Formats: sequence, C-alpha cells, structure tokens
Amino acid sequence: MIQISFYLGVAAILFSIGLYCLVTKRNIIRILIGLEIMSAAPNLLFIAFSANQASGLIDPLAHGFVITAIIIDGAILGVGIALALIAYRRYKTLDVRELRRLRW
Amino acid sequence: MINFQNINLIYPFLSLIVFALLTPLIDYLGRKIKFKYLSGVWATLGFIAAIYFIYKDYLIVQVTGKQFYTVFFADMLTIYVSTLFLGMGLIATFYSIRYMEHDTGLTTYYTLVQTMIAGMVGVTFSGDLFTLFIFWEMMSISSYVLVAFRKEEMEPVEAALKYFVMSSSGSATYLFSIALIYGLTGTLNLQYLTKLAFSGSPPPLFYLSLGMMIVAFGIKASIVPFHTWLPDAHPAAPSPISALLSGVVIKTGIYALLRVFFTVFKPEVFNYGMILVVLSILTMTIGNLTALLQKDIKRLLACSTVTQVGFILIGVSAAVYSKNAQTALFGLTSSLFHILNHAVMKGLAFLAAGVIIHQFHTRDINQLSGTGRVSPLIGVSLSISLLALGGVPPLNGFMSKWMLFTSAIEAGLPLLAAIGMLNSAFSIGYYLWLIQRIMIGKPEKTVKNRNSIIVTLPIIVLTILCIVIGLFPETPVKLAETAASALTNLG
Repeated sequence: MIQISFYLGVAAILFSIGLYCLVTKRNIIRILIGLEIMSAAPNLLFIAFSANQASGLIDPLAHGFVITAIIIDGAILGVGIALALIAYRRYKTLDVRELRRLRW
Repeated sequence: MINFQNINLIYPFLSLIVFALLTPLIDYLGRKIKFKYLSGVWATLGFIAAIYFIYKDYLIVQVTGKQFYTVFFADMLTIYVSTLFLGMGLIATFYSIRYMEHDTGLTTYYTLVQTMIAGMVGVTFSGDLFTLFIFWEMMSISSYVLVAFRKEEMEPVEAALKYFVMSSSGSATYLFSIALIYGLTGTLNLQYLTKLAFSGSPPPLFYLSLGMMIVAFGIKASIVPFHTWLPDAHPAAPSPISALLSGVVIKTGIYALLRVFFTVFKPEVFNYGMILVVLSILTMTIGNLTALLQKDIKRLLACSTVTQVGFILIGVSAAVYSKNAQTALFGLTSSLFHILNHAVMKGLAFLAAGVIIHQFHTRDINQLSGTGRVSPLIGVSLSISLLALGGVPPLNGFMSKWMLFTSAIEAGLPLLAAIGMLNSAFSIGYYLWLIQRIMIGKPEKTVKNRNSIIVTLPIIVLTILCIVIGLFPETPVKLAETAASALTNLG
C-alpha cells in the first residue's frame, strides 16, 4: 500500500518540472510539452485521491473529472500548436526569443 | 423522463451555445442570399435571446433567493454578473456588424464571441468547481483564438502566444488546486463546500490550495505579478474584442475569486486579508506606472485596466480583511458596483478608440492629435469615458471609487484608502493628457466623417449609461447590494 503523500509528492514534482520547462525553455514546442506535464499533475492527484476517499471504494466521479480534463487539455494543445504553426510560418523559427516585438 | 422545469435555469448560456453552433449555417445562408451582415445580426439575436432568458431567471431567483441543481446554481450574484457579461456581449457584437465588415473569417469571429460569452455566463452559473473549470476553458480557448484573430499581422500572434502560455498554466494551477480540495473534502460541489467546518485551524494543504487559486484566477484577472500578458493581448485583439476582454473577461477572474473566497475559503476561518491588501496596492501602483510610459492608445487603456483591477481589489480585500459582516457587505457592494462601472467605461473607451483607429490607421497617441474633432460625437464620448475612468465627480467612476475608499476606511485600512486615492489622482494625469492630445490640435490628415449608426449607437448607449449611473446610482447600487448579500449568506 503506497501512502497518499507519495502521490502528492510525485504530483508536486511533475508540476514543478512543467513549470521549470515553461520558464526556462525557449522552443515553443518544448513550452507546450511543459504545459502538458503541468496539467498531468492534477490528473494523477485526482486518481490517487479517488482511491482514498473511503476504504475499499473508488470514487468514479474523479475519473470523470480526469477524462474531461484530458479532453480539455487536448483542445488547449490544439490551439497552442496552431499558434506555434502560424508563428513558425512567419518567423521561420520556433525560438520565443525571436518573438520580441512586444514590449513588457 | 426529463423535467424541463429544471433546465430552464441554464437557458441563458444553453441558448447562446445553440446560436453559436448554428452561426456557420446562417453565414452560409447569408452568402447565398447576398446579405453579408446576416451572421452578425444572428449573433446579436442570440445575445438578445440570452438576455431574455436571464430576465426569466431573475424572476425565479428573486423569489427563491437561490436555485441549486446538481452542477448548476443561481443566485443574485450570478444574475447580476451574467447580465453584465451578456449586455456587453450584445453591445460589442452589434458594434462588430459594421466595424468588422472588411475582415475575413467572420463566421469564426461570431461563433467564438458567442462561445466566449457563453463560457463566462457558464462560469457564473457553475455550482461545482469542476464545472467552473470546463466553462473557464471554454471562455479561455475562445479568447486565445480571438486575440490572434488578425493572424496575418505580427502582433496578434505573438500576444496570443504569450496570453496562451500564461493563461493555460493558470488553468493547470487551478486544476491542481481543486484536486487538493477534492482530496481533502471528497467533494467539489459548492453547496457541500460551504458547509465545511473545521475543528481548530484548517490543514496546511488548504492554504496551498488557496494560494494556487489566487495565482490561477489572478492570472486571468491580471493581478500584478501575473499581469504581464494583459498590455500585449488586449491591444492586439480587434477593438470590440478588446472592449470585451478588458471590460468583462477579467471580471470573470474577479467573480471566481469572490465565489471561492466566500464559499470555500471563508474569511472567518482563513487569514489572507493582508495578502489581498498588498496585491491590491501593487496592482494599482504598477498599473499606473506602466500606463504612464505608453505611447499607444490601446496599450494605455489596457494598462489602465490593471489599475482598475487594483481598485476593485480594494473592496474585496476590505471585505475579506474585516470580520464584521456589515463592513464586508459594503466592501463587496462597492467592488461589484465598480465591476459594472468599469465594464461600461472601459467598453466605451475601447469602442470609441476603435473608431478613431479605424479612421486614421494608427494607434500612436502623438499622431492622433486633434482626431477627436473630426467626429465630435466619438471625441466627446471618448473624453467622457476617460474622465469617468479618472473619477471625475458627476460620472459613474467617481461614485464607485468613493464607495471603495469609504469601505477601505470602514474596514480599518486607512492606508489602503490613501494609496488608492493617490493612485486615482495620479491616473487622472495621463487621462487628461490623452484627452488633450485627442481634442486639441489639427489632425495630420483629413478623413471623411462617415460613421454608420450601427457603430455610433453602442457608443451613445454606453455614454448615456456612464452619465446616468453617475447621476442616479441608487438602483445599480441596490442591485449590487443584493448580489453581495447573496454571496455572503450562501449555504
């Protein structure tokens, strides 16, 4: 029996890896992958918690949440890849440092 | 057997989704009968239908107080905020019929505007944190595409990418946060979450969840450390979309914050008033400082949105900080009233600026000198909206700011009120500079003043609202107060 805190730790690590990827990587595709890793963390957490609500019972509601969240992630990724594609066609690069026409 | 009595509560966004799905078909029909405005008229009709349904909901909720279903619910706050969203949606769509007529891809445009507003109304109707997430994403995905709508230009694509990355990481954070809540309580339903009771102090994971929630909604509401996408994304969109994004989309973030603060993380149990006070001060000040540096009219308006979010947060932090129910109610009322006023003022500013940009094909303020005099109606409306944003007495912005500062003083936060007043005075500086630029001098080139009534009517309506709400604030304040009391007494 693996403790729930183990899953919590793994989810936190996944989330941090995704955030690290988002902050440090310069390639748009890598940023999108980081985003996906980030949104995988809560899904793991939902599944882990669903088995821990009551002994011997798995809450099916959380599985519904996870499936819906995965579908929404797919839609987000679709928009992201489309934007990356438009940016690539225009600049011939996927490096975000080249997209510097915006002032902060 | 389905009882249709039960689903008529959600007709406002259900009808909007149906209208959105039928838009491509209607557009095809419009091309067949050679009437290119048909899809725009159809979208406008969709918003009118949704407003009719929200009025029916209002009649129900007014009697019962609040309506709970499995994943949806409605109270006066829901009705108040979603009426505002739908009203602004109607005005922006009506304006787009002529304003956007030279753009291609209008089918996508009208479909996405309707799904975006439907998502926002859905967020307000969600009685479940996961349902909120689904509608949140419906709104967000539509808005990413709308920001990148003019994809043949450089700026929108870059701005949309930046907005996309920041906002979707916020969504992942929100999902993580509600996963923690689910693990701790076993439910995500707001009706059950309001009845949470702690013996002693709540477990530390709740505080992690609260922090993540503030980050997630703060990104959408452009609270300061997370605001960097806003001055890029809002100007890059077409003007009606800028009006919607600045006027109402960020208010969805504020709404969601209010909802989770007063249902899950109750201020009596959790102590986070001071964090909100600091965030509010940062948001006002940094928004003002960035706005001062701008040379681009739409970027200036976008930066001033950040400042106004700081003002809205004054009321929220006053409500959270003070444990007194009466003060909390007053703080929330003034915040909700400012949400309404800011939507009207900023919507008007963006729509009027859109007309000027459309006529002169530039957004540089230095090249816009005297442009307000070409069509006096547009110039005067833009000036009125800027004066209202600055908080000049007879207009609506003054009334809500005055209430916000009073609420901060009542909550025992005189320093916050003082900084708010200083920021408000400071912001008048750049608004007056913009008015002076636009209204004084001669335009560099002559353009014909030929604005269709379809473009000017929304501007006239919003200008009248600015003045009327300022002169007679009793009715909107009363509505905001009912909404605020529904929020504090939930459950």
